[in-house]
Amino acid sequence: MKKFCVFTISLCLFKLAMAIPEMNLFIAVNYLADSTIVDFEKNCQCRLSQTFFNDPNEMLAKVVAGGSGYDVIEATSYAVEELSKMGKLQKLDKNKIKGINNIDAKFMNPMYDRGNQYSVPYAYTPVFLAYNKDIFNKLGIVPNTWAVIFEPKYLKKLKGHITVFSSSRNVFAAALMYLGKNPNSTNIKDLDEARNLIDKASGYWAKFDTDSYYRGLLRGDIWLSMSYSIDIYKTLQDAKASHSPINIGVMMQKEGNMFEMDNLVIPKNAPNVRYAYDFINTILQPKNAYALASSTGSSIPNKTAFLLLTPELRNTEWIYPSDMSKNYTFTAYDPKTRILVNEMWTEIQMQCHQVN
Amino acid sequence: MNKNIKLSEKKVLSTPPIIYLTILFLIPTIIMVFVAFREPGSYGGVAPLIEHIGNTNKINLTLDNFKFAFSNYFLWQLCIRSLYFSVITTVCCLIIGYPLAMLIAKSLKKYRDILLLLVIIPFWSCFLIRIYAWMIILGPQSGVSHIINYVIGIMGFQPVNLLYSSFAVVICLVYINLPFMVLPLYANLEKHNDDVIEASRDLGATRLQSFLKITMPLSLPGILAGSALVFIPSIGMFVVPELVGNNCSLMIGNLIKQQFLQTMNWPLGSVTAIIMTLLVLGISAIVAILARRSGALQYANK
Repeated sequence: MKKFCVFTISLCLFKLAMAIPEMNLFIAVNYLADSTIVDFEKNCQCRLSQTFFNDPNEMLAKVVAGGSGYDVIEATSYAVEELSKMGKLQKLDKNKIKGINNIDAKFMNPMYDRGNQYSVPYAYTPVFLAYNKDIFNKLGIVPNTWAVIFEPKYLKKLKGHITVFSSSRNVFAAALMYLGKNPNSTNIKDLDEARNLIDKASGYWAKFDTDSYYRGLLRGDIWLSMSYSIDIYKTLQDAKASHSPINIGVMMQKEGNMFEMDNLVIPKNAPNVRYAYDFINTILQPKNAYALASSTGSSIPNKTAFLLLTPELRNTEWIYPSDMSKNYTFTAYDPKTRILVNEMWTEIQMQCHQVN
Repeated sequence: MNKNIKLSEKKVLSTPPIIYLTILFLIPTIIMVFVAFREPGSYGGVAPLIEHIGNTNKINLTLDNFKFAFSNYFLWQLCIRSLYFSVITTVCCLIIGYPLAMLIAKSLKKYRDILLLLVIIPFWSCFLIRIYAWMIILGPQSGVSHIINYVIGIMGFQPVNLLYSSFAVVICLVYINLPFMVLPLYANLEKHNDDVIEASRDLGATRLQSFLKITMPLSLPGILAGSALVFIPSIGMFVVPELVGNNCSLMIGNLIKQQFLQTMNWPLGSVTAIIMTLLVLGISAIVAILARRSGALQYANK
């Protein structure tokens, strides 16, 4: 017993002596280059501890529920707006941020955070349709329009092999764009129309899936997926590495595409604000933005780093769309619309529409 | 034995579980019931309880969440489907688990531990990984799918998708829950006295008769324990339908998860959780009453 006590106490002391400060980052899965972690930890003499989330709404839910202890949070466009309106974010001290001029001007001063008071752009991810090339060639369908996930004439051929995201914002945006409306519309008539469209189509969809749809694509049981560019980038690499017989194709839609604009924000109750700024400055360095873009396939707003990328990556239309005028980013709903759309979404997702 | 324990000792012994249950069960349940009557907040969570509008204080308590839940037929659809899946899962587990438990209990003592270990081995890996394995087994590229679709094709039916179906959900639920059925059944069957069976056989009962009249009634406590251990977790399962199910095989757990993690409507999530709790309590009560009325339990306990 005595031996055990001595052992425990010495272990505790050892731990205390070894304790180095931590920087807590709340970020989406697979969204940080390994070399950046090493770089950051060396410079700040601290340890980077990452907590992961799958879905921006999951992040919001945790932060709203009182989740704290994070120094930096990666927040998508509308999440920045909602968090700032809830008073959960610190105003950024521009003097402490170095290298913000690396960011392309078109990503600064966004709709959801005028004057970048709270957020620094991190990376963006276009949302589009990825498909099984062989099957689409056989069926003679070209998925360059959102009609393929909404129109019965296509759906009948693809029944049970389509996935769309399980987040209301992306599916509603696709429906609204297909109807020729503003994807951020809060007009009740537009939203009702979009809802009807989704209701009629959802019976043909295999499931709502944001987390594992790309595995289905690679296995061959899913033929058409609403997809994030980073997931597809990784899936294409996996397909190549495993010599998969499945040919995955990617197409942007002519009605327009959303892109998730992800930002770094510092929450109000951040324990280590100094490290938070260190981290943001590390990310803004071109070499780290380059590492992010080349390892995860994220689209980076860092114009200096962009020029370092291989021409192949730079010219990939679905990672860096040449025409950004048809690419939209999300803005936050007002509380009333948010609750309304969420109720609609609950019914859409939970109601089962059998089609034959 | 019980009489030897003094009252004070009883108190000391029961304090830790009482504290544990109060903190981790009673208080959360009360919070959940309370939240069900609150109004959803503007940005998720709940709206402040007392709102100052001008000089008057408005108390934000409402029945709207219950109204929304009860007036929407999808909630009942989910409840019925969850019940349906759980009952099928329990029955399948029982049908597969009973012979297995019997086999282990009747095998030689030196093999029993190894056989039990084999039942427990799947727990060594994360159950998510095992579900992913099932996704490969049931996927359209797999041998199983090919064989089944070939056989169905001969009979003149259209090929079916095994993955992303209610069928896949039930298979995975049965697979995950099977050990929970086998273990209590084994614990019960192992204690049975073989002399009783022998006596019945001497008196002219057939094998089937002695099973139906002796072994089965005696194992009823094991069956009930196993069924509860399978039924209750499967009714609240949300991972399995999310991974291998389709839009028409979601369960009530998915709705609760959605309300807390995606749409952030805590009040509706709480209402759903309450409905689910009542559902489980109701079914357990019915089973308990039926078991008591049949008198089988008293017989088994003697």
